[in-house]
Amino acid sequence: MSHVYHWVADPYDFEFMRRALLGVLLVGAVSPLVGCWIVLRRLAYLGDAMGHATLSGVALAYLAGISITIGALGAGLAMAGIIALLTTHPRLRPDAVIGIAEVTLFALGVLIISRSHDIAVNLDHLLFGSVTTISSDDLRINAILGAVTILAIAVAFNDLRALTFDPLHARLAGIRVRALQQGLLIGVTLAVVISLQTVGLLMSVAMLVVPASAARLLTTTMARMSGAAVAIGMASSATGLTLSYHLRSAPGATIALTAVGCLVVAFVITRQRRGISPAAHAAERPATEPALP
Amino acid sequence: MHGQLGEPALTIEGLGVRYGAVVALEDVSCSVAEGELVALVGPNGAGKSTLLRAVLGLVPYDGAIAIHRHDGGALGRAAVAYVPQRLDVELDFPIAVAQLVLDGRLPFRRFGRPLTTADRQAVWRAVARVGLDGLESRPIGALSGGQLQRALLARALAQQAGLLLLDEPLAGVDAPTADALIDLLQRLASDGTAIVVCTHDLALVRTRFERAIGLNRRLIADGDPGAMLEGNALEHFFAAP
Repeated sequence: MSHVYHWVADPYDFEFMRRALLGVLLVGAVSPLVGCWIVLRRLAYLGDAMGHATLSGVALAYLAGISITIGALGAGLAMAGIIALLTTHPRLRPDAVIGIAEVTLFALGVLIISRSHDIAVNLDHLLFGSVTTISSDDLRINAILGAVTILAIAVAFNDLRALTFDPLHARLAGIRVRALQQGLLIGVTLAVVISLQTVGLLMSVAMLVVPASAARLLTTTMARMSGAAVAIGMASSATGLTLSYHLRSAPGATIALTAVGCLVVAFVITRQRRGISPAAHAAERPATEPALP
Repeated sequence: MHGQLGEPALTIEGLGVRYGAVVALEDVSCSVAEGELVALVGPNGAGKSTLLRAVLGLVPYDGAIAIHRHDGGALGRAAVAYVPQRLDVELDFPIAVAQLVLDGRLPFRRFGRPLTTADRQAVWRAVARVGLDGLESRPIGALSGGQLQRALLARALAQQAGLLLLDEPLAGVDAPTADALIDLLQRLASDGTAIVVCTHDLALVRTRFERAIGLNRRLIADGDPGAMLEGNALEHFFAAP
């Protein structure tokens, strides 16, 4: 028993590990909550692209000597703006637009870095995260951004659900569809920004997509899916961080793989429970039903 | 049909819709009274969906559309309820029947406003009305086709609109389910709701509807479906517009 206790508690004798724990728990709560909508709206690729796009903002922030969080936020908002602008043209489909915006900002970041030696040295911190070096200031900014995101999702919950389930009904009911879509883009930006130092920009998609997908397998309503995604996200963040301490592995990658482990478990459980593919499940529905009373 | 028909619920005069150079509807005039159940029939591309879209304010149009004898929109978006084709919604979305029906209250629920007693009562009544009571917490992925169609209808009922538009509600459901759905629509009409049903199913229109509006870019026929479908109006239906 004491072995388990020490295994869990010992890493957190260190202050940097306690700060790191707060950092990953925050990401583990915020990203999956946003991720539920990303997964249901088939925008998983957006999370990945948004991570890459932040490279330009982070590189610029390094050059300017300002917080990389601010830089990443700027790049994310630029990404959201480019997507919003290009999707107004009916012949440009969203997936292509996301790719265009991503490559523009990622290439800009690589271009800046290729001209500067200082940044190249610190590049792997940005790409793969370095949560154990997170400062109290960064943690505070992330907590504020995270709280804003959670609050916005909570307030817009019903409207988001209506928009995602039946966009035409949402529009007829007077929901401001375009504003809500832009809001969700900004939510993805914030989720990616606060996960930069935890899992890095290359894997910021992990916490957006993996816990939400696992939750999707386990639940049948939006509220439960959101709750399950946050629980899986926070549990895999804490477990992954602890594991990385003992394995001396990169925290971001360890957390991402822990979340994938949760997804595999959810996949196996639900496969066995149903024992059939979704197509077969659909075919099993009764062809007729009792007449109306 | 059900005693006296009420005041006009929907009046369309000289309606024209074009998509670029393509004329989708031209000079269509008709009206539907409170308590009336009307089938809107015509071949593919006849403009049935376009007519619904014009009434809903989704496409620009020429002519006049009046709802409850006011200009479209005068009574707000809640005055018309729309039931989409069952296959237009994602069948496996994580949403339960009660939440789906609650979305019918969205026109009244401004951003973030909590549920009111009126919301709850409207949902409860709508669910009971379509005979889905007891299934409120069932995910829509576990409903049969006919049950899902009724759930979508309940969402429209929760909106408590005077005018109900249904797009192909009879497509892909078996005969007993279609019959039960029309029984339900007739009961709703007898309570004073004006209902317009888009459909391909001419056989069902002939046996179950007392009025049909035939559309093929223009108004082809309007009246008793039996007489309409036996006469040469039928040939107009399937003639090139």
